[in-house]
Amino acid sequence: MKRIFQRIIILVFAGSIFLSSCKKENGFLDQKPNIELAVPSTLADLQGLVHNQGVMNSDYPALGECSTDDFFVTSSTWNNDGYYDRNAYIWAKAIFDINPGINDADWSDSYVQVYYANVVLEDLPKISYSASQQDLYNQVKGSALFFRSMAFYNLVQTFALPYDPMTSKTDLGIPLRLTSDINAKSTRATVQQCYDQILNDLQTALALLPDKGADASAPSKAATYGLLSRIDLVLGNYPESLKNANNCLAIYNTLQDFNQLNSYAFPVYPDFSPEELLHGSLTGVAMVGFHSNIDSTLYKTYNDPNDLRLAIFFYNNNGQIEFNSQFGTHNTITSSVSTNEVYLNKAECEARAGDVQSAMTDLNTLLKTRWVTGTFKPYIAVSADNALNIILLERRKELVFTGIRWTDLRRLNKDPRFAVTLTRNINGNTYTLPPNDPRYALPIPDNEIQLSGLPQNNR
Amino acid sequence: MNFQVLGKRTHPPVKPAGEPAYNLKEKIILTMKLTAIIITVAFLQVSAAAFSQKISLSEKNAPLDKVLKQIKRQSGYFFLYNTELLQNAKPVTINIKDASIDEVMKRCLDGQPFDYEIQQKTILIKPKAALRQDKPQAPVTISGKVTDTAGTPLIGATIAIKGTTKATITGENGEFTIDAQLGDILTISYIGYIPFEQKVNSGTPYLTIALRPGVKGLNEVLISTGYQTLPLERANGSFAQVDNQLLNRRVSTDILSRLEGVVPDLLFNRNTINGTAGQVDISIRGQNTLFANSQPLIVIDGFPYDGDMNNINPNDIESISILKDASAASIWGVRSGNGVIVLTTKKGRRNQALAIEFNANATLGNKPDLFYSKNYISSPDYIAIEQTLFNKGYYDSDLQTGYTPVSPAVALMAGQRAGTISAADLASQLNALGKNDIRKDETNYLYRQSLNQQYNLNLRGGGDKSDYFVSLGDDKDNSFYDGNGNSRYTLNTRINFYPVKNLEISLGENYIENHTKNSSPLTEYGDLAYNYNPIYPYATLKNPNGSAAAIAKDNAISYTDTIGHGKLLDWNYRPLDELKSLDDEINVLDNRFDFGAGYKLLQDFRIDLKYQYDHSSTDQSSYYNTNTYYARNLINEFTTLNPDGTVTNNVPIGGILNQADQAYTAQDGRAQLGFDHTWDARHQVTAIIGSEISSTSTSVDQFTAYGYDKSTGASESEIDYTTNFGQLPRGSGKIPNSLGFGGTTANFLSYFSNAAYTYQGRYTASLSGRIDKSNLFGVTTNQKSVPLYSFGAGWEINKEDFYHFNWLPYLKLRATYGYNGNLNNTATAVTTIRQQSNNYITGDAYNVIANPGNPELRWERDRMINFGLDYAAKNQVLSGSLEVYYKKGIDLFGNSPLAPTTGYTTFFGNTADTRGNGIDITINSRNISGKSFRWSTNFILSHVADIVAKYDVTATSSHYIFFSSASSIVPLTGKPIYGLYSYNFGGLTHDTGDPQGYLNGKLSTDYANILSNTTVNNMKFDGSSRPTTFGSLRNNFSYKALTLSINILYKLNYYFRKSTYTTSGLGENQDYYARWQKPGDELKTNVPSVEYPPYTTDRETFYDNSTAVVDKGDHIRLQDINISYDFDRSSNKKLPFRHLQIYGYVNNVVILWRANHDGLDPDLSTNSTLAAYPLPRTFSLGIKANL
Repeated sequence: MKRIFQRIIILVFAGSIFLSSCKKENGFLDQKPNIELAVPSTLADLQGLVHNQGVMNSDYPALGECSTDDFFVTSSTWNNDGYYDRNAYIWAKAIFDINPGINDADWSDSYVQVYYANVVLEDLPKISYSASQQDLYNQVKGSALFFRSMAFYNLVQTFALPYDPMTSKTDLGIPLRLTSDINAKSTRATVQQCYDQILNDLQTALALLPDKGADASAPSKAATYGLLSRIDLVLGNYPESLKNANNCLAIYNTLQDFNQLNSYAFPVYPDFSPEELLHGSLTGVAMVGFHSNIDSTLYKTYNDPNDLRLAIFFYNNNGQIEFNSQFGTHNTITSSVSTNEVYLNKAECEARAGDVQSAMTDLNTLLKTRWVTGTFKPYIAVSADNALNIILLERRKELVFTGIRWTDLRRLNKDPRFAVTLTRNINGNTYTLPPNDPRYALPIPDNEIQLSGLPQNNR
Repeated sequence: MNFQVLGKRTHPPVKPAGEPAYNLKEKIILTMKLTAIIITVAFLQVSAAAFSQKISLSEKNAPLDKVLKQIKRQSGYFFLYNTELLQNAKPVTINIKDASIDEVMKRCLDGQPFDYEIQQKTILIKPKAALRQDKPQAPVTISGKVTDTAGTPLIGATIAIKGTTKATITGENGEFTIDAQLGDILTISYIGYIPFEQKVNSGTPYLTIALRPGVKGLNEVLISTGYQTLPLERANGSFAQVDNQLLNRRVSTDILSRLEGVVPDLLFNRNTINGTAGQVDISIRGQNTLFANSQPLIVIDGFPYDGDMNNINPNDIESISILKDASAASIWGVRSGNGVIVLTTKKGRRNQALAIEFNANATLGNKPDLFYSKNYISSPDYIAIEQTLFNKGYYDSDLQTGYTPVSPAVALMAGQRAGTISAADLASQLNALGKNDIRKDETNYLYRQSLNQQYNLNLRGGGDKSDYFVSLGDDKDNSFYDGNGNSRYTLNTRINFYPVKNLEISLGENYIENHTKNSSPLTEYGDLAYNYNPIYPYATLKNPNGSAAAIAKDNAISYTDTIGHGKLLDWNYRPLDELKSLDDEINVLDNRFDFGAGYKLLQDFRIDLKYQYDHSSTDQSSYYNTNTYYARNLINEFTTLNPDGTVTNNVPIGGILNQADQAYTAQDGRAQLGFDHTWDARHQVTAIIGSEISSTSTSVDQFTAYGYDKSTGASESEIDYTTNFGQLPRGSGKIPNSLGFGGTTANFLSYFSNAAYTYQGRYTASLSGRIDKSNLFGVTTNQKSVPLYSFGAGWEINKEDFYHFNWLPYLKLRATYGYNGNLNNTATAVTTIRQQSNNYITGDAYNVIANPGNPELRWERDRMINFGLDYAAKNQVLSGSLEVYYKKGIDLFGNSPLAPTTGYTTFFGNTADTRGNGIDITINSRNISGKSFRWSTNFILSHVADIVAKYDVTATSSHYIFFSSASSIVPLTGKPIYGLYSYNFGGLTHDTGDPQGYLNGKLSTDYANILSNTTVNNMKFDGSSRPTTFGSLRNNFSYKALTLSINILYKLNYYFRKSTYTTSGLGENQDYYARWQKPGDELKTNVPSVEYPPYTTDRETFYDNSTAVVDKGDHIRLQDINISYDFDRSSNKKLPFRHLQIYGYVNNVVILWRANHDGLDPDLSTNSTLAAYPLPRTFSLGIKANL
């Protein structure tokens, strides 16, 4: 009897070993391995992704800025900089050094933005939300579309040839990744396809976004109009640009009175400038930063001592005029969509349309805020051409070190009146970049070329 | 087998009598005999006739054993006998037909001094009882005492008279009395100890018999897998066992380092970043993974231990088993891929009188030899280079900013150029600087002799119904970094209860307190401004007047001295002041509690339930008072200089506390059913089956307190962490705030089983399997889980009848096949996001995508096939093993580069395979086993080759060349896991001393093109950067009570890249002196000429990564020497202790031979900036007493 009893004990014990916790097993094994991790399942989760300022509002390509004529560096600084910065600075045919992957931020960081946007756009339809969250849903979706368009736009400006209506249907653009599937193959779309995608997505976003975001890191209708106005300039579609600029300023037209700023404070704005519609900043290319000196010819055009931008924008370092980078948080160059730019877009379009009066009014409205109160003498133009010339110079001065100069060089070079040849002098050598040179499209990083088999830009 | 046999003082020591007890085969047979006797009792009534069978024999003068084999073949009867005994056999002449077994046996043994006994199918041959009766002797009464080697009495030891059933056991004090006949042989045995035999002579004195723990002979070794304890002879897997004596050979405050150089296949990687930093970096049988965890699983008393190994007091560890192959380790499933190290703590024993052991030692270490570093050039030479660079404008951009730090020499040169000092003053001041040598100052002021002290006291004993072990430990380490130290207190207790028959209850509690102080400024000091790392050689730490000297750290001294117009805090960095002010503490509390119950039922079954709870907390507080540079610098950086001349301190003036509190909680539960049964004396089955549940969670919370006063605990509550403040000298940022919380949970549910079947004691088959399910990979992955399994076979050849090599009484062959697993908890099956709390600009919450989803995720698996041969020659003159293994890593995690347009530049998944093979040889020899002088040698040789078998994506050549090292893997199919690659070097040019590489097969100095045109196919593969052949040679000498042990380690067949001077700048290295200076030098040197300043860095990038700087790592090192002297009360009555040992130990003695010609120690990571000098030699002195 005792033996039978003991045998039962063993059987029960052995059975319990295998049946133990079978029911609870899944709960126990479903526990998150890390409390910080979550599977995106709510609108808030996806909102958190588009609200990632370190990804979405940062690391826009700086290679274009590095190639502009707004600044120069001394041979000594140049010699001490990295391979990649130095080569970009002198418009070398190949710019990447052989360290794999370490220089691809200008390319890859934009595609990280595209990936985030694609994850959000793919997960949104799978998420259940209440009717009261429809606005939030729209805002998240519109933001994802906006950021993806912004990334595509930045990439096209840097890695594809300037827009030319004659060749845009065959010119190589950039890969338009519309899926988060890492197994999908990348191919280069044409320049035309790129702009079509960008404009379509921004139009969709317009219908979804609120007029103004909670802060300048969040996309909004105003920011979308501002970006559209900029892209229309690139495409030479001035009436459309003007329309978008007007739509933008109808929602938000605040300008910062520079008299209110403390030039000793650093940075001037703690977070965002009140003029910013959508905040962005460039990747940290060492050449574009504290050691870059403002081009001396350009500097001389700030010829009025009452121009407050002299103190706010620049820093006199023992006689070398350096850009103060003071709008930047985290010591990076800010490259935002801002009201000052939209005013300038608007003025340019008006001048091109022959509306000299409106053009100069808009320009003066902006510049008045840059001068010591009571000292500004409004600019007067004698003709539409004269107005355009004045506006384009003031555009360059106002938007110095914002990443916009590169795009302006690319588009304005198409017009013989404004075409310029850039020159650099380093260690006694002179380098030049003639207008419409194929080097206006920077090379795609080698790792992308090797892994995707994309055709490289012909420089 | 060195029995310590100690007679009473008045008598000479008794020497072991009878046949040599170390005859292995005899021991085995003895064991079997005992078994047989037990069986006899059980089956007493069974008639032998029942098994009789017809046998025919025809032999003339044949040896008895041959005849017995014949009988065995015909009858199927199995014989048990003592080979020694059979040597007395007379030749047999027999001619018999169709006889019964009884008849045959009678005829065979006719006239022989033997008797036989038939039990079922087994025939036991034993000495003829009648022999003894032939010459009757008077009975004598023998009394004595049985102890262990430390002199502790063994209560309950059995004293039996051989060949009879007469026996007694020792009582209190280990004493016994037994009546015997002259000529009888007493067998003294005790579980866990090697039995001892003593012949009874007339005048046999009071015996004091010290039994040695049963760990010496191969077949007495018990190994622990953490789930069960097995005799090594029945295991087919690859195990290594380190007993207590060997563990105590080395003096250290940690346990794992005691395994170095005594276990085959176990390599301490010292040339890695972790290894050089003093962290545990071990590989067992090479590397079985690429990017998952590479460290072995540590098991303490049956449960995995994930805490800090430095918390374990080595004095509490009784023995260590190392599980190396699939069969040994697969019971641990997905955590076994890197091998398992099983630690068994000390325990008390039932019926053991109270024993007290005290161990104390002190270890004194030299200061590290800073003059070893090759990264040094003399101060005047350094200044001369600075002057050249200065003249060429190298520093102009730094000087232009006004705040970028420059060295004192450059500051003087700038002053001279600006006209503030004269050329003569400059020359004399530079001359003065040139007399300084920072190495002297560092040696004098920042380093000290290290002193480690260790005290341990333990008590153990037991009664009939319980036993106990209590240990107290106190360890104090004063590091050679002045200001760094560690102290540890441990309390370890274990109590076992035996309340009723067959029930055992065990309780254990382990309490650890560990306090670490890090106040050496050397870490932050090693991180000086970018141009000055390592620091310029003429820096000084002390001013001539004795005050602490300032060194430019983050900003130029000229800037920090003037910028605030006296309104800022002192902004100078003075390392010696830091030494006084830094206050960085880590306090660890670890509490481990376990409970176990085991119950035997139905004789063959045993049920075990075990539970362990482990909680540890680690509180790290870095307190920076206002005197520290860290606090002053942060306060100054965040000071706003207002236009009106006032200042605003955005960081309040006061101390700063960075606190990080971590907690670790592990719970493990296990239910296990064991079965152990023997049928017919030849079928033996041992099996376990069970399930296990474990949950390990960690949490961390950290914060920063500003304006913190350690004495009052007060801090500023109003800190603006969100505003982006301007920072001095330039830039902007938010006030750093470490506030954060984190936590991880690892849950496992596992089922395991293990079974072994032994036939006739000579064939063993084993099988094991385990299924693991975890929360790391997700449910879908668990559903697909396949068991990790192994099987093995063992064959004790010496037990075969055809085996006749008397000189090699033990020979065993074994083979195993199976799978281990490894896990990586960084990957998940689904796309996951992580919430972060400090958005880039606004500082609010946001999400990042943590992982792209990977539904294909699975465990890494390692397949291993192992063949082993164990041998022991007669008298153990020679013993050891030979093992050969083949392994394959399957579904290993690997990074594959992805096109950046995907949003990722790498993909992490089960994409790679590796393969490897190895061999390891252990030879133990007893060279001299004299009465007072003994010499033995242990030789270990391990060879392992690990190859990447499959890696989908080939990186660029530069990736392999720049990033491959002993610490980091850049996998390349067909090459070793830790390969080392370089650019082919073609010597220096004759005219300019430029290094030459190869471009399209021709010598070239077009560096940019050499770098970009070197492909994976034409780059140079130098070899493995981890040793592929390694081992040790340990010689042990003893003369009477004096013992000397010397261990020599060797590591062979690997390569390293040495550091060299940067030909273009200030990289300090002694290669500077070997540089090319004039045509013709290229014949004598490979070190290129200088090029100041460089136009590109390609030239030095090429040279620094060329074969010219790759050297062989092979070396032989005299690792350590241990010397000890033992006093025993049995030989010295006045001794206040039962046993006393005094020992001395020298570690890191000297490198005996190295392949490189630069005097470099290849056991140092060249990737690591810290500790770029060999471990200093240490000297220990200790005492161990047993009361």
